Amino acid sequence: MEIYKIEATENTPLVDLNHNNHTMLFEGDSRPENVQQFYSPVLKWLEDYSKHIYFLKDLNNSSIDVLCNFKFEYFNSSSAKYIRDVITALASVESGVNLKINWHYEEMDEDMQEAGEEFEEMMGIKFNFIVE
Amino acid sequence: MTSNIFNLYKTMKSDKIICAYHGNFNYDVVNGLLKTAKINLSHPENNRTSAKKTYNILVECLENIHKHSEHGEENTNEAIFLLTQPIDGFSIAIGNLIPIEEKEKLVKNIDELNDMTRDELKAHYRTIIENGQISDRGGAGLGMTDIALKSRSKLNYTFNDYSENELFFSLSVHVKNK
Repeated sequence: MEIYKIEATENTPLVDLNHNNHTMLFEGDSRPENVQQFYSPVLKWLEDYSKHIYFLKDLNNSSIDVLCNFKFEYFNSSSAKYIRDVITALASVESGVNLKINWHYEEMDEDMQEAGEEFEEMMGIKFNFIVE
Repeated sequence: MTSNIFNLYKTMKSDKIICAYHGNFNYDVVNGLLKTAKINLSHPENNRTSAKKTYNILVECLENIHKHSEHGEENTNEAIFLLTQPIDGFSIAIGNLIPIEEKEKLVKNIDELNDMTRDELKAHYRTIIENGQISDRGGAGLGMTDIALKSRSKLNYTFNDYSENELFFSLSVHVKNK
């Protein structure tokens, strides 16, 4: 599989998915003109990563640290559904790895803080909240 | 014409209108308006929490107009938008034409949201997201639910008679400084 990286635009976040380092990053604004089109390759990558890590786990006896950083400045309600799908896909690789999800938000941004708490509760996965 | 613009200027000044637009709404127009609004909202003297919240709500409001206008016939994506700065925060008002038959559904949807407690709103938001009935045009009322959740205030709306088939629908949302 390959590293998936796309730079941020005014309306779409920076996405950097790296299977070698086991790191994922989403940073910026998310309100793409076509949300499905934007998030489909991301979800496909995560599906492949899930298989990749499944085989890697057999090779490595030691546990793998997987880190995902969400640094959204803003996301619209249509993106929220896809971000939920991203977290669901992450959760599916959780067994046998140490999954760490960092949810970054600016101190004054109570909506971004709440959105993270809402996802955390919805998905039943613990997030680390990082105040910028 | 010149006196008209002076009157408009005075109104905008006295009503504390910091951003306004009337015309067709499409993706590019929405992008441009959001960019302008962001600059005005990020004024250093503004309360940052309510300015950010206002921006968040504004995105949903403007995208809502743009998405819904696409359902209609051609040239029906005409709408108006005002961002004002009353003494205690910010206010967003949007107005657009809707087919008369849509009124009942809209009233029902907004009244239901206004009657919900914060916990009920969160549960409602979650149900819509988890049911996955979301297209690029958003889910069944997801945008409006998001607006209600973020604003922490009631959604105000009115309908004005416009033509035989259409009504003018206006929605306003107030964001109070903390």
